[in-house]
Amino acid sequence: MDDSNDIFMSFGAGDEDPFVIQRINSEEIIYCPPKRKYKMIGKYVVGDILGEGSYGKVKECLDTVTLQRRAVKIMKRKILRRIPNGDQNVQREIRLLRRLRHKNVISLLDVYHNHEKGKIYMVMDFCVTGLQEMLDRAADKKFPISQAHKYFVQLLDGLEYLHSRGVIHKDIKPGNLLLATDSTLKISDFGVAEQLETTVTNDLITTSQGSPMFQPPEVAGGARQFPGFKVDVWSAGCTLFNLVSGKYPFEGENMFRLFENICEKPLVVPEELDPVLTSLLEGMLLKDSYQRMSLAQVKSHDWCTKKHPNTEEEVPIGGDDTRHSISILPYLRSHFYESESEDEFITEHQLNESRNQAECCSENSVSDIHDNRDKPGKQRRRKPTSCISVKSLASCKQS
Amino acid sequence: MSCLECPCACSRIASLAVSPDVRIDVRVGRTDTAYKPLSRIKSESFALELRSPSMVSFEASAESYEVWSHLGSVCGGMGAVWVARHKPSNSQLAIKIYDLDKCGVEFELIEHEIRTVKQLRHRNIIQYLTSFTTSHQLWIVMPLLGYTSASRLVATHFSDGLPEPALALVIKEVLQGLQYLHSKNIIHRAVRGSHILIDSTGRIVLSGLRHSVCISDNTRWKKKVHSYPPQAHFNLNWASPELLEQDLYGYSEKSDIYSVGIVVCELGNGEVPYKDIPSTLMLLEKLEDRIPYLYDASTCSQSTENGQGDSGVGGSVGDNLTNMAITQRLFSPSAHDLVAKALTRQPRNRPSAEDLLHHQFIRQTRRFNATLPQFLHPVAPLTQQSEIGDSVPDLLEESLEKISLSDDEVNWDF
Repeated sequence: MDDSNDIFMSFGAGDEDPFVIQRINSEEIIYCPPKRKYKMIGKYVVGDILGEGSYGKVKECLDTVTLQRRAVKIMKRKILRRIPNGDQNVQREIRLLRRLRHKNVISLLDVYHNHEKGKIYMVMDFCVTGLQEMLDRAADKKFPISQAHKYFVQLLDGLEYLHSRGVIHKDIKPGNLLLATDSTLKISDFGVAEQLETTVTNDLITTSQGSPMFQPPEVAGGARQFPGFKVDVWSAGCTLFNLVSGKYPFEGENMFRLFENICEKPLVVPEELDPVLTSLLEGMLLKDSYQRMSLAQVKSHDWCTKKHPNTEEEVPIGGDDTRHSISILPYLRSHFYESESEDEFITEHQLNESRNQAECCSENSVSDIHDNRDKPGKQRRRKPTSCISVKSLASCKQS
Repeated sequence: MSCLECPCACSRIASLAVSPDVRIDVRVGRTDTAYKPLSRIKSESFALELRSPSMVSFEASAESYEVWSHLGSVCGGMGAVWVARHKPSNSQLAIKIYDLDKCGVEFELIEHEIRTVKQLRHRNIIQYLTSFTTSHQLWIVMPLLGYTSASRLVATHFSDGLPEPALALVIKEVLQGLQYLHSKNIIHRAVRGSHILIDSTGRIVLSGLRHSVCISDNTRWKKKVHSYPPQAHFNLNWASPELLEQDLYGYSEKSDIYSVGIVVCELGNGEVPYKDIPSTLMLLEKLEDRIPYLYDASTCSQSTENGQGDSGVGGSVGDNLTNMAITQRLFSPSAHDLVAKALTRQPRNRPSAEDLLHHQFIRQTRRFNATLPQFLHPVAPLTQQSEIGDSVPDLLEESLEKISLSDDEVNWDF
């Protein structure tokens, strides 16, 4: 096994003989798996990356007092300055979220600033996935009716709360609707949301910078002033349209086309949808914002109040990872059990051995692997993956 | 909570308070009537069922009670438990008094507790006699439990842990209480020594139901629960790995069984496993399936020779290790087996409360010809003084002193 796995490398650097091919024993190629460095932000231990966006990263973290899983959004001041209204939007999101508390609205638990690194940390509820991610995974990019209904009514509850607090979200779309482990929907991303002044008696607003596909005609058409709550009703309508059909109500090859279609093209609801749902979508996607259904009307609509039997199989929350286990453990392990100085090396030889072993195991029994997944404790030694960094090649020097 | 909101909160609580005309037999020793477990009992029917000359009604007003001495604090200092006297019947009671001005999120939990307890009726589950609000306080009246809580007993009199027969009797009734709760689809989520109360006859009563959660949703039956307990930080050492893991698999009523395993160690060893270690390390130990155990000659001799515990922190032997009493005693193999079974990592392989009631460790209690108070001798219950008169407050004070702790570090909780 040893010999067959040997690696041949050529070196052209030598003066004596440029064509020497040196044989390196697989025992001598050494890898160092990436260190899971234990890092704290306030009282939170930081774990794996959950997602990345233009503003920065979102990482999993763990509250060391309650041991509750959380997510932390890490933003760099430098990058924020480059995004139009970046800094302003973050400040607004923080200001808004601090005042909100509802089970269908993501909660902001802590905000930390690191002035030296120029970083802002926002600690929020831990969510497993977003609706967009699930849609992308689904066979025909849509949910079964009962599943869509389950999420939509939660979206309405969250929106009702936001509107009662004078907050217009302005960017409702599947990508901003996250799911917690118990499949509670959480409205997130308040970067472009607006808080109405408490003294104002109407909800007229003048700007909206949400995602173009989900913008209502009054925004697309450039109206100077429009009722804000109805913006969210339209976007929620587009979202529902998307969840049940896998399509968007209005599309266009460019922004101009898209906005033109939103303003002028009549709505076409796919025929396979039942008439009650069609009437709801039509009511929510009425071009005239004053005639469009209000949130209260949507909530009391027959489609929202009636029960939907779950006949089709639901799109799983987890996808390939049916568990979404806590990602902090390797970090804790390195903190408590492995000393800082001690580096862990793995040779190519060991790597091949473990690969072969893994293959044997998978051939032997599928149930074995299933058991292993259930017992992370038994898989103490992590196997290096493709992202291993070559630490040192001991015999690369010319002899 | 602002002063403005307070009256509204009070009226909310008043409406859910146990109806004042519920009549309950409070005579010591007569409380363990085998009630039929019913999910909802109308107070009237219950009153009829138990009406007899000895029945006492508990008024929902502070004037009927005379508060005597402080027993302990609850809910992280939000409230306190007091020994009190019911003036009309001249009987002793415990009253839990919450300061509503101090309660924030906790208020919802107290509300949840009152509502849950009201729906339950079992000899091993706490029963409230009445509850009401006076000014900014919420009073919850309940029977006085003579031996207070199991953890307090251990802290005051059994620093090396309870003797095995007493342990078996306590755990048996805890399991009975849990079996009932689980049959009602309730997960307790906070089974711990301080929530195991013992009355003067030795009957065990489970409290702390404000942490509980119902498995059934309003609309459909859910087999698993995913919600993380709002006050989890109080009970982390007792929490099951699957609850702590917070993954998509969720947890079930088996989570309580894991806590029972921890409680056996807590009461058997005299201190809870993972005491004084960082919670993150406790998490790592639990998720990597290193389990705590009972300390005795069979489990501790090795580690004393080596000077260090071998199997991690879970079973790390604290100051107790140096204690000769521990290295010379021997728990029965069935006791060790029960702990190992209850602490099984995989919930589906873990026995249910009913399974454990048939375990050898629990079955041995049938052969006992003594009751729990006899095993706890010479510790006397608070309610030992049978004559109730003017001297009682003093006597109670005395026995409270005897039972009270030198330091307040034992976080005990009615």
